[in-house]
Amino acid sequence: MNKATTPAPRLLIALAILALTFLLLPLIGLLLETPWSSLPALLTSPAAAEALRLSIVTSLFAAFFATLLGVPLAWILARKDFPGRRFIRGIVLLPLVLPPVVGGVTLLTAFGRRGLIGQYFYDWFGVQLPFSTAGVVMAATFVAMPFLVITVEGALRSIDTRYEQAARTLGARPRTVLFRITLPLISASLVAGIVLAWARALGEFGATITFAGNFPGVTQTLPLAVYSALEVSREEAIALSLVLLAVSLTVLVSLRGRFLGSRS
Amino acid sequence: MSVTARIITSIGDRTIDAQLICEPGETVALLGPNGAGKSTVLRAIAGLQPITGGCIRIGHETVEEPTSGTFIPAEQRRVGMVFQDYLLFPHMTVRQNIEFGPRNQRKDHDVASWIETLDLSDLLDRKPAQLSGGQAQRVALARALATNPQALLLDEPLAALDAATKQSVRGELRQFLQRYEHGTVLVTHDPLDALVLADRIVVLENGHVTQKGPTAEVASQPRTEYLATLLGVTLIRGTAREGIIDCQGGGRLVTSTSAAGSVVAIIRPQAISLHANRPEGSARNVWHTTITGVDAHHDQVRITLAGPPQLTAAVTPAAVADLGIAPGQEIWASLKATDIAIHQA
Amino acid sequence: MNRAVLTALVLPFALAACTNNNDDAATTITVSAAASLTDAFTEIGAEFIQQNPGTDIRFNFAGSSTLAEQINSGAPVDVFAAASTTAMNRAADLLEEPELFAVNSLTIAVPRSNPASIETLSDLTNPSITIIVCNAPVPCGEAAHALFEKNELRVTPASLERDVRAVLTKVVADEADAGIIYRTDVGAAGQQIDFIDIPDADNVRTTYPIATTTQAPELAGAFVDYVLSDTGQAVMRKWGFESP
Repeated sequence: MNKATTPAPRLLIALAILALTFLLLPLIGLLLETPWSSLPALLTSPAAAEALRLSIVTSLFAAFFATLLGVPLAWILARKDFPGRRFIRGIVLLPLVLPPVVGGVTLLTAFGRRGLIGQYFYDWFGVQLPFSTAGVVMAATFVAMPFLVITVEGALRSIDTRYEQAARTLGARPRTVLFRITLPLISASLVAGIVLAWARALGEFGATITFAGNFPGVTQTLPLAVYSALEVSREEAIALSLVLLAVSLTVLVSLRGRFLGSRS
Repeated sequence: MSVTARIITSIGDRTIDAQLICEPGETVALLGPNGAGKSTVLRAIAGLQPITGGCIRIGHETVEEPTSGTFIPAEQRRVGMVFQDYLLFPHMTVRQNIEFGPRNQRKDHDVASWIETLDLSDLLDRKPAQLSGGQAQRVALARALATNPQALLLDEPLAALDAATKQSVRGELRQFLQRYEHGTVLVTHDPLDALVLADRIVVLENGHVTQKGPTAEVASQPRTEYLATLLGVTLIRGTAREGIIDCQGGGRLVTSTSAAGSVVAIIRPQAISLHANRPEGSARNVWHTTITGVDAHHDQVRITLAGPPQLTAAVTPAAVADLGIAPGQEIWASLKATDIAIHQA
Repeated sequence: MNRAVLTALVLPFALAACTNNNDDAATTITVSAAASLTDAFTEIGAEFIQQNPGTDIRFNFAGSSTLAEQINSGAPVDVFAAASTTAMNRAADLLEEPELFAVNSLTIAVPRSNPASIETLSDLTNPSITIIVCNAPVPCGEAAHALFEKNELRVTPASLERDVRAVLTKVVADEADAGIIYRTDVGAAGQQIDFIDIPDADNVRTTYPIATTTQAPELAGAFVDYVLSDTGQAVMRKWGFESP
C-alpha cells in the first residue's frame, strides 16, 4: 500500500481488527484445545471415518442436485419476467435465512412418511426418505441450493445478453446458446456457486438431524458426529470439528472471493 | 437475396413504422439520429425484436407477418448480422467464432475462403481480446458470412473504431460490399459511412422514414433539417487520372489523390470559400459561378453553386451579409485539392 | 477519533458484563433438568414460585449428557436434575452430593394407528420396522441399550435422537413405527400416541439424581428440598415417576 492510496479512517481499521479478532478467537481456541497427540487415532476411528465418508458422499450429491435444479431456476429468475417473480425469488432464497431445523421440519411435512408427497412414496413404494442417506442428500440440497441460485443468477444478470442474440443470428438454437455461450460465459461464477453449495452442504446439521435423523453409517454426517461426540468425548468432538474446519477453509480460500458474484 | 420489410413495432413509448427494400447486391444505409429506431429495425429483420405489424420478407420467404401469424425465429432466419461491438464470443478463438455458425447448421461451409478474403489466416488462434478494432471487425464479418446468409445486416459497423482505422476500414468494407452478391442493410449515424458504403439511403427519424433514395441524391438534396445538418457534405462521382477527376455530369476537380479510375469525391461545404473577386492563394480549384440557392441552417448558411459540378458552400451568416450573397449573384469560389476526400469506387 | 476507537473496543466487554447472568442472586435460579422431567418440573416449579413469592426459576430442559457438558463448560446453572447417575457424574466436580428423587422405566411408543402392529418387545427386532431411540450417551439411550441387552434382542434403530422428546415428536408425527421412551412420557403425549407396556420383569429402571452446583445460592437448595418433599414427590408420581 503506497502513500497515494486513500488512507482508511482509523475507526475503520479498529473495527476491522475487532471483527477479525472476533472471528479468529474461536479458531485459535479450537487449535489450542486440539489433542494433537491423539488426533490420528481419533480421526481414523471407524465412526470418524464413516462420518467423513458419508459427509463427502452426501455433500457431493447435494452439490450435484443443487446445480442440476438450481441453474435452470437461476436462469428463469434472471431472464424471464413473470408476475410474482420477486416472491418466487424470496421463496427460493428462504433456506438461506431459515433456521436449518425449521428447514428440516418443513421437509418432514412434505417428504416425511405422512408428508404431502412422502406418504405416496411410502404407501406405494415403501420408500421412507427420513432416516435414509437419500434424506441426508435432500436436506443438504435444500439448504445448499440457494447459494448456487444466488451466485448463478447474479452472474447471468451481469453478462451481456447480446452475445446470446449474436449466437441466435448464427443459427444457434436455445440449447446450443445455453451450453456453448451462456454457461461458458459464467463458468467462473458457476464453479464458485457449486463449490459454495458444496461447502454449505458439508456443514449442514439442523435440517439433517431433524429430517434424516442420526445413525452412524447411514445419516450421521460429520457435523452430527461432532454433536454426538460432544456428549461423550470433548476431545473427539474437537478432533472432528478440526476436520470440518480444515476442509471448509481450504475450499473457501481456493475460491478467492469468486462467489461474490463478480465477473471473472 | 433481397430484403423487403415493413416494420411496425414499438419500444417503450416510441413507435416505429418504416419500410425498407434492399435488392440483391445492393447496400442500403439506414441513416438517422440516435434513438431513431434504426437498430430496432435491423434487429426486427434479424428476428431479435418482434414486430406488431407489417411484414418481413427475405428473398421470397415471408419470415414474419403478424396478421397471418407467421414468425420464423431468429436462429432459423438466414441473415448474417454484425453488431456494433462485434460481440465476438470472448471465450472462443477467432477460428471457433467463425466456425460457430456453420457448426450450428451442421454444414461444411467454405469457411476457408472467407478467412482468406478477409485476411484472417494469421489471427485464427487468437482470442478476441487480442485483436485490434479493425481485425475484430473483419472477424465479425467473416463470422456472419460463414453461414452463407441470404442477407447481411450491419449495425454501426465502424462505430467502434478510432478515426484513423475507420477511414481505411471503411474503404475496405466498401470494396467488399460492392462485390457482395446479397442485399446488405447497414445502420449508421455517420453520414460518411452512408455516403461511402451505400447505394441507397433511407433516413429514419423518430421511427419514421423521412427521406429515401439513391445516395448521391439524398446526400445532395437533404429534405430535413437533421439530414442537412448531418450531411453538410457533397458527394460527387467521377473518374480520376493523375489527380484530376472528371466528374459524372460534367466538370473537373483538381485533387491530391493518386487513385485512378472510378472514384467518389466527398466535399465539405465548409471547405469551399466564397470571394467577391478572383482569389489568390494555394487552392487548386478556383472557379467563377452563380449562386443558385441560399439556405439558412442553424448557424451556417448553405449556398448552392451552379455546376457542373454542382457544389454547396457553407458560410457564416456574417459572411453572407458581407458579401451580399443572394440567389442569381455571380461569385468566385475556391476549394483546396487537399480538402477533397477521395474513395475508390 | 481515538476516543471513538477506544469506545468501540471496550463496548462489547462492557455489554457482556452488563448481561451477566448474576441477577439478584437470591431470587432467581437456573435449573437444568433432563428432558423427561419437562412436565413434572414445570409444575413443581410453578408451585415453588407460588409458595415463595418474589422468586423465579429458569428451566433448561435437554438431554442429561448435554446438560452435564454445559455445566462443565461453565454454564451458570444452580440445580442439575439428571436422568441417570452416569450423566450426573460427568459434572461431579462442580456439583454437591446428589440425592435420588425419582425412578423411571421404559415403554414403547407407537403412532396411534400402530402401522407396524407392534405388540411385544420382541416385535422390535423385525428389521423392516422403523424404530428410533435416544443417542447412546443420553440416559434414555443408555437405558434403551440396557433394555435390549437385558432381553437379548438385536435391534437396529433407524436414528439416534438427541433426547427423548425428539423421539416422541417423531413418533407422534408418524415418522417412525416405534420409539423407546420413558413411561412418564406417555402422560405427556396424551392421546397422540399409543403405547405398548413393557412388563416390569423385562424392563430396566433408571434412577434420577438431583444436586445443586457448588456455587449455587440458598434458594437452589430450597428447590431441591421441595422436590424431595412430599408435595414435590406427589407431583412426580402424578406424572408417572416412581419413588426411589
